[in-house]
Amino acid sequence: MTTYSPAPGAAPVGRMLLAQTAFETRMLLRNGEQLLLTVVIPTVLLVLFSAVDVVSVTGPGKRVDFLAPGLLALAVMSTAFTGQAIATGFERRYGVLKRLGASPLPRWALLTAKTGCVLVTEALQVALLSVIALALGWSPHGDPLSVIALLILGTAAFSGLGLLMAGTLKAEATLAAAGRAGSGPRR
Amino acid sequence: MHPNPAVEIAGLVKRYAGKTAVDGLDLRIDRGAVTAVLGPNGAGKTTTIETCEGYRRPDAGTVRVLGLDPVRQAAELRPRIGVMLQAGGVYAGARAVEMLRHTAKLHAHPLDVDALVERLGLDSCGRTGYRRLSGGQQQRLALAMAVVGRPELVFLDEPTAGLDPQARRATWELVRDLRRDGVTVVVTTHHMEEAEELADRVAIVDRGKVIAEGSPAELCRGGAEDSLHFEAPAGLDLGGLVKVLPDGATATEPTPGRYRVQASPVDPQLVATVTGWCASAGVLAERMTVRQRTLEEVFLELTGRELRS
Repeated sequence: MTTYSPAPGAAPVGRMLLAQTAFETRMLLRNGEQLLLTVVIPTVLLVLFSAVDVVSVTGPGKRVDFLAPGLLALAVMSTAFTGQAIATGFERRYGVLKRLGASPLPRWALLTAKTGCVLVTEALQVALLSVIALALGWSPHGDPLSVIALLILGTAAFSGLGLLMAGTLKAEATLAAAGRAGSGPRR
Repeated sequence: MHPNPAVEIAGLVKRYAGKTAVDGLDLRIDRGAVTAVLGPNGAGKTTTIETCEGYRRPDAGTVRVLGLDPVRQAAELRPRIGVMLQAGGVYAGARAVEMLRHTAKLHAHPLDVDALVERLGLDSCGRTGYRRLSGGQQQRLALAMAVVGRPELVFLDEPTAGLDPQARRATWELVRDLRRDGVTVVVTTHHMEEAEELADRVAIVDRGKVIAEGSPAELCRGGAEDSLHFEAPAGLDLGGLVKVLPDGATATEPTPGRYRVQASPVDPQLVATVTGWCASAGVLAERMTVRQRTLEEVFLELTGRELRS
């Protein structure tokens, strides 16, 4: 027979962080709209604009050399800003944040987990888009370290904005505004 | 009884935009018991509970939960309490069992998730997304999330609202098991039956104040009189009966052949007195019943209003 006798206590903070990050990432990757936003749209744009002459491309090299860095930046923005704002807005709306507020998970750990979820998603995006761009003949140049630094700075800035929006506006308003600003899906 | 109460609320005041939701509420909740906070919608029950959970800051008064300040000592308190919100709290894309398993991972010594899932009849919806669960399944999932961390104290806000009778019984059984194993349970409800069935103590809240408090039996006994009814041949001379009854008790024959004795309290001694008098008068009393007030009537008497408006 199960005993319910009290044995309260928070899990070690490292385990909580890992669990929350994994859970948030799983929720994000399961969501169709989020996948559209983070994977499908940047991929389609990269392939389409590399192949078809609809955007004017400047600078030397192939079309993909101009497009790939911009689409990496778009991918970061769509995850850190649009995706984050929409997911968190709905978590707020469905009482998820409220319920987590009564759990042993500290607030900073939740924010860290959300950041971790964004970074994991971005790593997947960068890997995917780079492979496609390379297949399209992209010859990257520049300093990889400064690229990573820029990615992280961009993530921090757009995550902050996204969370600010999710925390202050209603979920639907967040969806509309974040969708418009980040070229996300319009529902 | 444990010297330190599970919850101690003194003079709690909470206002929203000028409207007073809680108006000087005092309440002490002992450990190891099931306490029902009973009142109509809008009485201030949820506001009071959410102040205990650390969601709201009191405008005045003090709240201590397990001896801690729910706002300033939240980090210390939260692992020790279990919370079931009135609605929501689950990721829209999450599956029922997955959500429960995740909640368990945030705790040091969680319950066995599979056993809890089976116990609450959630095994059939293991892979179903939260939004496709029935209202009753969502409620039971929220209940499971509240207890999975093996808390000392559980707050259940309207845990059986919208449940069918069978699911309601399953919830009550779990609450009884929690009490058996030493967990303190605080339940808000506007169902009289739930409070009578489940609670060791009942606090009746109305317009932001506790207006009565006690065990269900105490609340039903106190105040107005209980009554004893029996049937016998019409037209008995009740003068002799009144003489042997305690002071203040009355005996009447509202309709011929049906008698009513009112006294406070109606206790075993009173029943013996009435049957003794019947025996000495050579009268066979039939259909003798003792009727106590229900909490519903107590509430009506205290507030002049129906509980469910």
